[in-house]
Amino acid sequence: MADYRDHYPQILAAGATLAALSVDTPEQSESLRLALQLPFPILCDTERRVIREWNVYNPRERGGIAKPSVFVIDADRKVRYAAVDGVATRRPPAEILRMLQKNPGGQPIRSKVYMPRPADWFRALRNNLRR
Amino acid sequence: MLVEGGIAPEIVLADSAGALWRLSAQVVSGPVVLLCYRGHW
Repeated sequence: MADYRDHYPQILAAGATLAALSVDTPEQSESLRLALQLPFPILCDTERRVIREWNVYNPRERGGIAKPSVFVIDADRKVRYAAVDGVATRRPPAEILRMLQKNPGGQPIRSKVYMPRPADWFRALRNNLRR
Repeated sequence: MLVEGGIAPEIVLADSAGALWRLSAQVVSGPVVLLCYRGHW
């Protein structure tokens, strides 16, 4: 959390926002937010509804907690990036930031499928005639 | 499982200060980075 706090200005500058989420009570989350001086909100999924729907629910610990995970969500709730870790680690903020800066403002990522241009068709036709 | 390119389920939750936070409203102004963490223990 502190690592993302330290990258928060750059995340904002890249046009994104940030929120954290856990199953903790509002009181627990608020004391953590104040202790770490987090400039972003902590969402309180005390009923575990969101972490179940998002499939980051770990039922084996403390009545069910969230698996450490990072998501980048674009307009219309389209998932740009999803990383779920089995244990306590999490994707470093620098990696997330690089992605945001590469593609600011949530523009859709260009398809990597190569679309042939007229010159390609012409070259293919010419090669066929030559054979 | 949330797959990249898919649509994330809506989130409507209160934050620790009691303010309502809605994912579909947040993504209008730009991408949202969501950190899920294990929480207090």
